Amino acid sequence: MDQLLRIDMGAQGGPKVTVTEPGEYEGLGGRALTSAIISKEVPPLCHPLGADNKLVIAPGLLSGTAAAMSGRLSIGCKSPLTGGIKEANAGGQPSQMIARLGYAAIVLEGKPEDGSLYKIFINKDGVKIIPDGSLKMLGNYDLVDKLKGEYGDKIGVISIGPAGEMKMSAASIACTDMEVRPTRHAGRGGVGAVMGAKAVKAIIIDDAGMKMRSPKDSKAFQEANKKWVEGIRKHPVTGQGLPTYGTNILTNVINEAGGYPTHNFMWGRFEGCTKISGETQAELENARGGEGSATHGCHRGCIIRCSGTFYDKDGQYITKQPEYETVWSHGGNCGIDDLDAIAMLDRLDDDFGLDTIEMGATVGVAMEAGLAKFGDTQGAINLVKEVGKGTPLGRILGNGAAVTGKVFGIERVPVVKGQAMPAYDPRTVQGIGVTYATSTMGADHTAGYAVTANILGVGGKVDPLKPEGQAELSRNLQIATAAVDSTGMCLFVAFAVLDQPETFQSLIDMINSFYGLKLTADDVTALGKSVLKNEKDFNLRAGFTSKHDRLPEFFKKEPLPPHDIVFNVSDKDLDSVFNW
Amino acid sequence: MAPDIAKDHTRTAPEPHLVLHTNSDLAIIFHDLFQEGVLVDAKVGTTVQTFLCEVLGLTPQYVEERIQTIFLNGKAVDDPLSAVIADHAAIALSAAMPGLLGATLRKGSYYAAMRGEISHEGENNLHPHEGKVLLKLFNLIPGEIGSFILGRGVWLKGDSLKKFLEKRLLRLLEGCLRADIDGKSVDLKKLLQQEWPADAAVFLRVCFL
Ligand code: SF4
Repeated sequence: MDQLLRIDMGAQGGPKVTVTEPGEYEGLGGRALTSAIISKEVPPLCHPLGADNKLVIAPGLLSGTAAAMSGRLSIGCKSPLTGGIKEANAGGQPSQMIARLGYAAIVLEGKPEDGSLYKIFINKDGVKIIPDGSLKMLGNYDLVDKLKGEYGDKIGVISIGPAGEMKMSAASIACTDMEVRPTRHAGRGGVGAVMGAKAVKAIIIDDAGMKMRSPKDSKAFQEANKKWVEGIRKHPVTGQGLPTYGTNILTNVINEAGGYPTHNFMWGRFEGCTKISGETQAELENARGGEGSATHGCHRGCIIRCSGTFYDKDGQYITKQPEYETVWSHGGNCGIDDLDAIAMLDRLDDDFGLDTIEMGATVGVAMEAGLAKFGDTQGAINLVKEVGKGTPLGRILGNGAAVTGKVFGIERVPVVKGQAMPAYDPRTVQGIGVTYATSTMGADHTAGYAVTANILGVGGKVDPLKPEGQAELSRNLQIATAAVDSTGMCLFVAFAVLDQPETFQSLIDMINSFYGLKLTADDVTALGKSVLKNEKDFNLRAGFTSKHDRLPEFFKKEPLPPHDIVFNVSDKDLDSVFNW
Repeated sequence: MAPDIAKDHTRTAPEPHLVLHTNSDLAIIFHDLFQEGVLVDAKVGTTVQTFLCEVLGLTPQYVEERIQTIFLNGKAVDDPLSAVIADHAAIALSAAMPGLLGATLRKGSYYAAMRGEISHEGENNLHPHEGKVLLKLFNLIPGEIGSFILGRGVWLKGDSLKKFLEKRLLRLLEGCLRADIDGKSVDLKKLLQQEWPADAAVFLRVCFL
């Protein structure tokens, strides 16, 4: 896996394919690779929807190998939502398939001017780029069904729905799962709009005839992978909690902590919490049954299987098991305590190709603006349908919470750098607020690798009991996150890694034995720092200053019940996060 | 939200006692009650550790290893040995949780500073006396200790019990062998018609066979 597949969609005479050696990008994968290419090749001041922006689709370093949990795909570009650099990542099958075909990344460049919409087919024999007007404005589900009819059901598909075609800033990019359903989304930052701007509706990947990537030192790799799997299986979070309840296991606990943003971040507890908790969701899914109901993986090689499949009361497939973030954004954040309604909203988002966090936050802002009442499930569904139809109201909503707040004159808009916040109120867990404020990505929750920072000792040891440690902790977390995001590992391996240093070592051993390297934990730290440095540097050149590393004012002014606290980390501390 | 049954003591009439004898595979249907919270009789004015080990009967090893997150009145507890429980305090127990938040909220977390505002500060003002504690159990914990606690008996609001019975009657009819109210055997199907004091406490004990 070491070639770059570059497709210039705006080339004279039609899209042009070039396959190049990785050159200076050698040895990079996932987020490290997407951010390196964007930072080096995209003019920071370019229009995100213009010809100069690039969309980089990169499997992680261990994708396509036998390593368990290694199927995450990173997608990077200049974000139309934040105006800064973006890496959004997703599960599903495509990451493994692209890697097996030998590509370190697919880079979409340029922009066609002829108004055509294209599909790209990639297999062992090469790349075909075909204009296909019949795909216009198809939802992701119909699109994938159509492509399966044409290419068979062994394919992986990376696609956009109508939201991406309409170049909405909340548009996601869908990746198909093991059942070839478009349920796994690189959601954040409007990456789907950039794919839409390149006029690419779908990338169809067929890895038939390709083998698993083979390591330099097979024996050492197998041994490390065995230890890795054992470590993940024996830990209570990855071996028990996540498979049983999924990520929604967090709902009751965050609610108890008073940090569950409710009614557009007005309160920290939701009355209907137990109706939508992971415990309730798992019981409902188990009672309804069906294949892969409460415990299911999003790609082959996942041994945690935090996902599931949501069927309605009559056993009809609706969507994958909605994740914690989705259950919160469309649920508690909007006063909705009905799991069936939340599943329907998740399905609509996936079909239109929308980021569920951004859309839930946007509907929350719209509810505050009076477009529907909090708790009105049908009202919420109608608002999301407006987006799918592309009505004038839908176009406003589809451009996210910040735009919607501005249009309707709402002050309480939970965004940083234009991107909606995930499901934790930063007034309750202020260290998370530091990360929301200073992340290169806008408010982002993918600091899940956070826990590795402790083991890595990134940036030296911090006294965690000192309040001023928050900036340092956040910095360390962001470095560790950036490093592990580059491996292609699912973020939920984090706990096994935290509690079991030997499990972390087995991850490093897998990389070393695969590539014939001798990396140490220090090298991993250096990689994380260099990723962040690239990203920060891009944002600086794109016009970002420390003023953008701030939370919205209401977090400092409105005490959040039940603990009645405001966000009180000083600007000086926020500005110190990137001093290393 | 937890049921507001804190004021149940003001009643003078004796509280109804419901005892269910059920098959053990029915235990899962009672987990709902723990998500909402049940009151348990407890020696209060003691530490969280005393409550967990001496009142609930958990071993220190179980508390150390399995209960990774403890909230006392919504605040994350780092040291169960120094957090003191007042009468009608709310305690929530959870197994280890995923993600950054999960890491941050753990007891004694390396990331405790990140949630300093909601950390329980601890105190040493011990004055043990009889009282009640609102207990919530999340995720894996009710499956591990819920049956034991139900076997000792819990208090819940009459209308919470009514809602529970309405939702779970079919399962109870399949697996519950006997129900007694105040020592008298009752027809299971009639439990739904039973008048429970809506805002006051009812004592529920479940004997798993
Ligand atoms: S743990 Fe969950 S998100 Fe991670 S790879 Fe498995 S199913 Fe996908």
